[in-house]
Amino acid sequence: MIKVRGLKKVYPSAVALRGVDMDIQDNEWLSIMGPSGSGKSTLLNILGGLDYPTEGSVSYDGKEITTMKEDELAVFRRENIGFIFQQSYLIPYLTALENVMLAQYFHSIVDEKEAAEALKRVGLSHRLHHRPSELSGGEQQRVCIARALINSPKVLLADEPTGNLDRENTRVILELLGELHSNEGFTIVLVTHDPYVAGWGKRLLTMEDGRIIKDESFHS
Amino acid sequence: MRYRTLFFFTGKAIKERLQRIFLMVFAVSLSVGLLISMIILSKGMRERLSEELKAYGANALITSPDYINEEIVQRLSGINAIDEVLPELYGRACFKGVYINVIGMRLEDMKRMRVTGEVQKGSVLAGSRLAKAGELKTGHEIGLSIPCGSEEMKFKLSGIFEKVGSEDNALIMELKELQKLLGLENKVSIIMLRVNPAVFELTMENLKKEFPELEIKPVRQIALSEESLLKKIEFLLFVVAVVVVVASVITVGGIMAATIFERLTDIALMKTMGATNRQIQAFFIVEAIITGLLGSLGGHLLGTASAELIALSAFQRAVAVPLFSIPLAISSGLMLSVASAIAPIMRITAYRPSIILRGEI
Repeated sequence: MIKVRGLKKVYPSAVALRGVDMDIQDNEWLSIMGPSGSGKSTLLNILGGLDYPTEGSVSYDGKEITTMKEDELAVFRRENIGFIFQQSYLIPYLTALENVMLAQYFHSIVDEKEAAEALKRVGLSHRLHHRPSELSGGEQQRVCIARALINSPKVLLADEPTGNLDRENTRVILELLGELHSNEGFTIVLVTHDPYVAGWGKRLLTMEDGRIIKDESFHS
Repeated sequence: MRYRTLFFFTGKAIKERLQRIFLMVFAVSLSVGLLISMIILSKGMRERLSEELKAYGANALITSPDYINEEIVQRLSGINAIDEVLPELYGRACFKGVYINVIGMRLEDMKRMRVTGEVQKGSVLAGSRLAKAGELKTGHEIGLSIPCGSEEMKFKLSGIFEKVGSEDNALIMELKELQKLLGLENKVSIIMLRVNPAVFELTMENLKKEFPELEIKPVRQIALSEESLLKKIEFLLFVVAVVVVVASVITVGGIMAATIFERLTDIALMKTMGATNRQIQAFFIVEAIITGLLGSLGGHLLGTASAELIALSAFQRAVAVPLFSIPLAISSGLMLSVASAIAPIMRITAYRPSIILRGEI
């Protein structure tokens, strides 16, 4: 379980978070919605240990991460968290397979077969040896999903993962995430400004001006 | 296995940025090349210049109140720092009823003189003034005796030389013949030395300790001007080398920083995957090592070639490439490349990935 308490983030020019409290249960699919500048990406970055809060705490199963040093955080990330971003950040000179293998390298050892299997699970078995520039936007995002999940993280943090995709590709990606979520049982925290995307989660937090203003749960 | 994977991913990164890497290798090569060229030239120049400066003549003299035993010539010839040993015996002999100056030299030293005619074994050479006054021509027979009126030793005049000073009024003959004529077997009057200017002072001190019974004097003007010239040139080369190294670090550092900073997003991405700073730094250090090694190789070739070209045009002779220049090229290339990479790598890995991914850098 992820516990967030009194989270504040102040930048020199703006206040991004003004005190966020929330709990995220294991295996939960949580969507966070809100307008630009509401603090949702900042919250996601702090949840993923990519940034430090100005105040407050974030703990995973009782383990506080906001006090961890950078290298401890890196180890924590590689063991527990997978990321997907709006832009499909892939290393441009590596093939789809090598991009997934790179995540394995940082985690433990490289296993080409396992990496190929991960790409097969996201429907890209025919694109293993293609570079990102040879893949469509949807395919690139699927490589990112395979890479994010290759080390079996407990939590998948997705920041506008379908923001650059058309409706059809958005549906494909969300279906894929839903299937993997059901099969593998990891927690998803997905940030979006699109109600359609947010609707795929079982719980929706709405943020505004650095605060959670609504917390809704949906029944499937 | 992990190292193989590290090299695999680094190889991929290098292959992708061949143009930039080529530029880096070129910059390292240029810097290492200049450094190696300076060092080869500096070392070679001392030797070449010493040879060139030999044309100045002897730069030290050994004299004695009495005659010097010829055995000392042998001992002096065995000293590495002494390039040349020129023993001479001075005496006077009667020629046509008049005493004239006679100089005894070794045949090989006589052969190096500029002579009209030739130098032959058992023959004598006459100074131009003496030849003019005595109406001597090559081929003439010269009869010398001590004292006047005693039995003469006959020599053939094989050449005439011209020299400024009293030697122009003298006869030069083989040392052994003059020793026999004067009855001074194994004796010489003076020994002229050509001491390597690079170790002149030290050699002079050592000679004074080894031969305390002799007077060992530098031919000051020559010795000092040689040493001063060499020191000035060496200082100039040192200054140029320092400037080259500083300029190289700035240039290579600039290119390296640009190469690293253009991969900012890749680095942030690696961090999101859980890469530690050390893991990321390893990629760039390996890249810098490969660049440094290639640059060293190119630099050594470039440096050697340019040093030889300069030496050929300045001295009309090639300079020796010291073996130590190879490890020196490798270590300087590696140091240059890795040192230039360290600052930008440390800086870039210190950024939080969220800042980079937000595009704030």
